[in-house]
Amino acid sequence: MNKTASIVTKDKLGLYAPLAVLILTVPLLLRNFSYGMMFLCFCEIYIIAANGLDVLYGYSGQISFATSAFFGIGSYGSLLIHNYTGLPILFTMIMASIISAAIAMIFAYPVSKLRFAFLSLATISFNYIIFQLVTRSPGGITGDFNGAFTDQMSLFGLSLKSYYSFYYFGLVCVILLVAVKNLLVKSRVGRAFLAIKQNHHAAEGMGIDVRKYKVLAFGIYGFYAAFAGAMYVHLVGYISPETVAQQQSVIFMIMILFGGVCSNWGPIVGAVGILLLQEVLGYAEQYQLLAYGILLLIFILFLPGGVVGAAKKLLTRLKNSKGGAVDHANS
Amino acid sequence: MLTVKNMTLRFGELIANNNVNMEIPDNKIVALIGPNGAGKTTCFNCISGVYTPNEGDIILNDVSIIGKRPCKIHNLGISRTYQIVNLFAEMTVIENVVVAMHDSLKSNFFDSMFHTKKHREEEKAAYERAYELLEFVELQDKAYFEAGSLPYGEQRLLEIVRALAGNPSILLLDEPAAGMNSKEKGDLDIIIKKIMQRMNLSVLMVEHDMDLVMGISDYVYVLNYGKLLAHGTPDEIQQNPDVIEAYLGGDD
Repeated sequence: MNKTASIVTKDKLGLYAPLAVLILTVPLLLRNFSYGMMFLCFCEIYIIAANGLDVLYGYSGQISFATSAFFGIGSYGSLLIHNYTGLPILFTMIMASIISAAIAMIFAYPVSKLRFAFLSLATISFNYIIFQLVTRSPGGITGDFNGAFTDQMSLFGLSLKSYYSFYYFGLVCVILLVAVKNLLVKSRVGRAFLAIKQNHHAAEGMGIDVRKYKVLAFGIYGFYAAFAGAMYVHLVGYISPETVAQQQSVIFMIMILFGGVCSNWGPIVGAVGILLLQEVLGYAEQYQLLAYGILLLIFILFLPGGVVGAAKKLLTRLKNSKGGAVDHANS
Repeated sequence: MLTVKNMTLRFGELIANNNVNMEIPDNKIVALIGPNGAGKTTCFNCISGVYTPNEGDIILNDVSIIGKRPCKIHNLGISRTYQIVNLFAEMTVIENVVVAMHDSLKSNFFDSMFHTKKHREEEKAAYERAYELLEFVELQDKAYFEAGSLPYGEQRLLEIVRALAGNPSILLLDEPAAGMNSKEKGDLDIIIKKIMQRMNLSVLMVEHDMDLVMGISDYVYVLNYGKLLAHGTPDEIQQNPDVIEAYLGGDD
């Protein structure tokens, strides 16, 4: 038992150690390619939001087409608090995320009764409400259709304006938030989420307060999406209302369906994959939506586990066939 | 002790349960029988909180549980199985059992988030207890199988174990023998008795298999068209002319 365990960890170490080195040294490799660094910073931001959506959709089974709304609450929230009070940016980012989590939970309380199609509609409506609020804000505090400016990231008086320094700040955020998600879904909370997703009648019958946990999942999702949004606004220093548009929410959904739900790597592969695709298709903008549509259909119909799910299946099949062959040889 | 007092449930014009009175004393096996559509499962759904009766009261150890949600009723000590297998099919066998311990685990959100020592110890103890419960029905060797991959009879046994995980004082079994073969039915008899003695609980069981009902029940209630037709010991019920006419009669 112990022996196999240590072999597995060694195997994983062999895989993760070079990856860690690569992740840490990438800015050196890209030192003359600041566009590439910007791309990596965006990857970090979208990985965090996709992980939040994975908690909501992958684990608790609730679909949401309002991710960009919560992303926007984080962006505009941190921007407004910072611009009006001058409080340190990291603090305003966390504040905005907590406010977003609270809004998500208040939204979820009545909405948690809905499922699938009706939940989708409710989240789409919510996204439109936020979009309206942002573009026609009271007193024009959000800059309406023009967008708004704010300061770029700084920590304890240290400016993280450059993509290179922001990259490391983002890396710390990604590691922390993905680790917390990973621990959370492997606890009694995560078990309750999965139980609700698989069979909400039985979950309620077995003593899980289904409504409470559905609301909690929305809260975690709201926090992650808003934190990503707050990172975004302080990376770019500017936010336009297009970021909050409904279409963006669909892209988050495609990310986790593409990458695969209920895993650590799924949201990462999904976010990076779709961002890469956006770069590639950047020159053919009119075909972007077409590509997303086709991609979404392919993944819903043929690869419901996403890229990571398919890879895992392939790995277990390979392992099983290997194991079978060994057994055969022994007998 | 569970007492059902003058319970009535209407679906529009249809009276599914009409003024039902029942009593389930401690450490007894009570059966609820009746022809199809008599309102047995509806009665279960009222007791477990899925439906709220229009009239009457349901009292568990001096506390009225009427109008409470299913999760609260489970945590107060009434646990159930379902007529149609209702497992978490993609979870492992042991996870199915641990899910049902949810309320007895006291780790809060932050313990869960950071896997504190309290959380780790509690999880370990929960899995150990789940494993012991699985030994009851000899499913321990399949603890890490996917629940949906078990044969039907074993899925039914897993449902019973899952219902026990919440440490109930009343166990509601909705047709536990349905779809089991004769050997499995024979084992079920022993399992139910063993559970009752070891876990110190009462069983209320809906069942169509008369051998099983008459063999292990201490007391039998008969429902017909939503109304209580008769109640008594198994011997009394078998000789009751009303019951024979309404239920056992005809074909026999």
